[in-house]
Amino acid sequence: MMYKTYHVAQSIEEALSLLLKSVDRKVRFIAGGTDLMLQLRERIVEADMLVDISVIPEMKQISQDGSKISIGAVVSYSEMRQSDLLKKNGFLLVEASKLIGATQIQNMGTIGGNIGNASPAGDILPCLYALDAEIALQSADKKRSMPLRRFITGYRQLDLQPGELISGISFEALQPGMGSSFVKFGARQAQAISIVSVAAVLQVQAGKISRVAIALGSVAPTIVRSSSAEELLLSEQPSPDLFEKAGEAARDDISPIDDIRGSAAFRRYITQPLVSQALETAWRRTQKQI
Amino acid sequence: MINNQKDVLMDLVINNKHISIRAGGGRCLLDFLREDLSLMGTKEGCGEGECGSCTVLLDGKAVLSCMTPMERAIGREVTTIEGVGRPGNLHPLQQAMMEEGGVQCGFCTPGMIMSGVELLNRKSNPNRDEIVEGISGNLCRCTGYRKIITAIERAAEKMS
Repeated sequence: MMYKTYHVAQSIEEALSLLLKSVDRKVRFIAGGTDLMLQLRERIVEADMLVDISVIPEMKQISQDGSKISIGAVVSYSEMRQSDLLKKNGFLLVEASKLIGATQIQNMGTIGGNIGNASPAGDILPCLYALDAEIALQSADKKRSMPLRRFITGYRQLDLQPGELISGISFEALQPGMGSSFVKFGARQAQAISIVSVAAVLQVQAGKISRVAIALGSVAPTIVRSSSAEELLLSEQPSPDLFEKAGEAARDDISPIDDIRGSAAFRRYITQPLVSQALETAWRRTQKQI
Repeated sequence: MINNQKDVLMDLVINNKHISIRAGGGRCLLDFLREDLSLMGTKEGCGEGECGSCTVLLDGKAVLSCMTPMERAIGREVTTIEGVGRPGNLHPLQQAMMEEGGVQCGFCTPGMIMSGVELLNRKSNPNRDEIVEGISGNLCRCTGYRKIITAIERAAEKMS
């Protein structure tokens, strides 16, 4: 037995009350289960009760309110890759969703799970960092939100309070003249855990870069924004040469380790061309408004 | 991980048949299918979401039954390889897998077919890239994939 009891919550309130009623027991929320089921099986995590939050209607929506795009925590990667709203307003999330696992994992895994797992190799996370996304949290007596960059405090560490649930994530829709992209380097196209990943958002106005965000995955205990590369690019005229230099600069902001998937030296090496590639693709897309 | 307590009422539709039986909870859907329902077509390969051998359809979507809690299937519809076709009444993809030599040792085949069936349900005429992507979550160590891809193309032609 991996857990003793299982409850399917129909609303956020029900999920939170199940959590509150069970103070003396180990309770875990389960969304897609692609990380948690593995952790339960390997006894990395122990749970008496699983509360299934994957069918809560209000957490399953992608919506727009003015310039703000919100994604419910249990929206799956398949749902993101099919979303017209995201194709138009946050294309890099669609691109990353297509590169996560394969069909089965994309049907199961959720954006909230990727955040909650807080692995530096989570492919949605660099995209959300590049979009300056805000996380929405809910407990029985209050709601709060904060930048995702502050919510993830370290390697698999979150500023999540007891009794709290990740309900969703939001970001400012990309505007005309902005382009975005996500690239990853892994052992193969499908099912690969990123060795290095890069998300980029770029805006060009009057021939100059007016906004840029570059976020890197699998190169530090958490996702990192490359302020060195961003500073180098801002107010400059975009060009392949400049993007190569930005890739060099990004190497100053990372602290990769050796692990089973790649050495620190290789990660440092591959960061430069990946950043450059992500920027070129985002630049190309500034003309197409995605 | 056996649970003999029979503490959960598993009420669901499996392979178009409604069932309602008591079973020990706290396990993955794969174990429920094999241990309680004796549906041995669904295989456990890696047990960690890499190989796709345990693929089944949950409400029509391909999922990994080794990572799906069994209770998640309650009130829903599960399709396993046994529900795709039977001898004498094979699914076009099962027929094409035989004709094209898409099966060697056979261990990956049920999962591979479930992914193929989901793809064909989604896209009636998938191109080669879409087929490759559609089965990219399923490992096969024998065939080199080429004959499997051809079988899916052949099945798509037959079904159109």
